[in-house]
Formats: sequence, C-alpha cells, structure tokens
Amino acid sequence: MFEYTFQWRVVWQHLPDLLEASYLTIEITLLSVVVGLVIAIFLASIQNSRFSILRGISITWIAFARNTPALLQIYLAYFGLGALGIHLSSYAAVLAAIAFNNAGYLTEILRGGITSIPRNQNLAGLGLGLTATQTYIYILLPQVLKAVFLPITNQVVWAMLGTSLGMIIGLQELTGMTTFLQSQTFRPFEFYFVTACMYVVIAKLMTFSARLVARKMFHG
Amino acid sequence: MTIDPNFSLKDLIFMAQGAAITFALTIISGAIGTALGFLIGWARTSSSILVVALLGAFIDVIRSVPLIIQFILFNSFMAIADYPLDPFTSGIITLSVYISGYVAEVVKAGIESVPRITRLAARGLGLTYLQDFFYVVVPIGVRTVFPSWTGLMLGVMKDTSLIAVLGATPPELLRASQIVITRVQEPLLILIGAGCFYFFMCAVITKINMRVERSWNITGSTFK
Repeated sequence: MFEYTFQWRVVWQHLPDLLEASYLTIEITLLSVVVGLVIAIFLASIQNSRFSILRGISITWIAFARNTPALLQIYLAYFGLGALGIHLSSYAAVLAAIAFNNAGYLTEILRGGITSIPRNQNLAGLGLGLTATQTYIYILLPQVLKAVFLPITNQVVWAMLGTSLGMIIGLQELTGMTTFLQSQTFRPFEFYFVTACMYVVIAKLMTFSARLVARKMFHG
Repeated sequence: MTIDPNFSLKDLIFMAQGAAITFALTIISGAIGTALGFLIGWARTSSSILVVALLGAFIDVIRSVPLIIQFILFNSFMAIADYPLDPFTSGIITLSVYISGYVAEVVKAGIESVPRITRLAARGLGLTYLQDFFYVVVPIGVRTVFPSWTGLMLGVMKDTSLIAVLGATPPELLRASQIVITRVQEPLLILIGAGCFYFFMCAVITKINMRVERSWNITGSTFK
C-alpha cells in the first residue's frame, strides 16, 4: 500500500527560503496585532459614546469582522477595494484584512477586560484622593492589562494562522513560499509537513515569550 | 456565444446554492467535530497521564497549524498512501478533526466547571460513574460552555470557505461568489453580498442558540 519514498533533502536545500518567509509571517502577524490593537482601543472607547454614529461604526466593524470569513476580508481588501480605485499589494491587503479582523476580536477582549474590573475600584481610587487620570493609570489600567493579556496572546497566534491565507492571493509568506517551492519540486507532502512544524515552533515561541513577559509584568 | 456581463437572478440563486453548501458543510463537520471533540475532551479528564499528554499534544498541534496547511497535508497524505479521496470528503474530514481540537478544550472546561463536591455528592447518593457523568456533569457543564460552543460553530462556518483551496465541488459560498466575479467583474459588490449571506447565516445560528439557552434558563430559574 505504501510505496512512496519520502524525499526530505530537497526541503533541506530550500530551508533558507522557508526561514526567510517565516520572518515575513512573523512580521505581518506582529504588525497586524499592533495596528489591530490601536484600532481596538479606539473602537472600545467609542462603544459607549453619546453619538449614535460612533456607536454604529464600532458595532458594524465588530459584527462584520467577526461574522465573515477572514478569507472574504482578504478578498475584499485585494480585489474589492480596486473598485474604489484603491489598489493594494498582496502584502498590504493581507496586513489590512488581518488587522481589520484582529480589531474586531480585540475590541471584544478589551471590553471584557474593562467590564471585569469592579466599579468600586474606580470609586475607591477617587475616594483616596487620586485624580481621575491617576486612578485610570495606576489602578484600573494594570488590572485591565492583566485580565486581557492571555486572550491577546491567543489572538496573536490566531493572527499568525490567519496570515497563511496570504498564500491565496500570492503573498510569499511561509505558506505561500511553501506552495511556490512544492510546485517547483513536486514534493507537496514533505514541504507542507516541514512548514506545519515551523508554524508549531513559531506559535510555541510566541506563547512562551508572552508567558515570560507576563511573569515579568504581573509577577506570575 | 457572448458572455452576459450583468449580474442576474441566476447568479443570486447560484450564490444562494453556495450558501446552502456552506450551511450543510457547517452542520456535517460541526456534528462530527463535536462528537469527536466530546470524546477527546472527556478522555482528557481521565487519570492516565499518557492519554492526557498525547491528547494535549494533538490539540496543541491542531491549534497552531493553519487550517489551509492541514487541508493540503491531509489531502496529499491520502494521495501518497494510495487512497486518494475527493476534495470534498477530505475537506470534511480535516475540518471535523480540526474543530474537534477546539471542542475538546471547551468540553474539558465544561467538565471541570462542575464542582468536585457536586460529583462526590452524586456518587455518595449511589450513582455509578456513568450516571454521575450523564445526569449530573453533562447537564451542568453543557449550560456553562454552550455559548463558547456556539462561537466555535460560527468559526466552522467561516472556515468552510477554505475548502475551496482543495478545489472542492460543488462550490461553497465564497468560491461561488468568486466564480460569479470572474464573469461580472464587480468584486466589491459581490463580495459584500457574500458577506451579507455569511452574516445572515451567523445571525440565524446565534438566534437559534440564544433561544435554546433561554429555554434552559426558564427551567433553571428555580435555583435563583
């Protein structure tokens, strides 16, 4: 039944290409999370705004980002925006789409973190004579950060998995590079297997370093 | 023969058929994945260190490899093993296994959400292990993790769009929209339309699940 001979050497020869592509994967992942986080902070802050337009923007963004496939969002950024005269490169399209997607999920994470802080903490801070800003920075923010840190770490890994969709619009990040190389060498299984292992390693590195940061910041 | 470049009712029906395929894929993979994930999650609470470690590693890998790669890897593995599957079947299998890894975590959390004392009380009342599991743990645990499970099922629906990578036919919603785009050349409008389809289906699933949840709350209100 099993007469296939595995050829790993060809993968070994192309390992530098794969490593280079994995840098691109990590770069897009981190950039998309940073951009997504900035947007998420903005969206979370306008969520309870007095102006219904601002609330509407926040609600629509979150609903669209969370209820449609990331691939659809990438298609929209890459093919769809062309109709408006905006032509993004595949790099920019993936970055924009994954950041858009991240922003939706991160807003929910932030909101969860903010609501998990008891209101009394705020009142106690004010009652001790701190100003509103001081209360926010010294009392509320550290607690919110602690509450949202783990979910954000998960979101980083999630974003990394999402960048693999760049392959479909021809971006040569880790998955795209693998697809390119296997089409030249006709060794799909070996190449994708090694790539899968590399993704696991990257994900482990990310969660491990996040845990180190968490231990430094929150003392365990 | 000339190609009609206008969006017609036929295209809309074609996309609606794609949406039906997406829905069917979601239900099939969701059902298989939930059943498999239930077993894995249950096994993860066992006392055997080997079983816990092996399943833990399995879930870890499932959750840190992109789904696209899992699709291609499984498909090419079956081809290598001289047992090629059609893309649709191998897509369903991969998606089910993929989602089972996530369901298993949810199931484990549900089982662990039941207080030890409750379970000891059940055993103390003379229930066997299986009775304790099915009459005490499952009813409490399911109520706890039902919202997370709903979220996972919405995730499956979105992930079905990746089956197109394998070239699975009949086309699901996103693939169908792409086919329409190649003729009509209106990517923005058609993709937004596809987004609305997804949105609608997610809303339906959420509505149904909220209704189920509410029906539980009524019976549960005696505890308040």
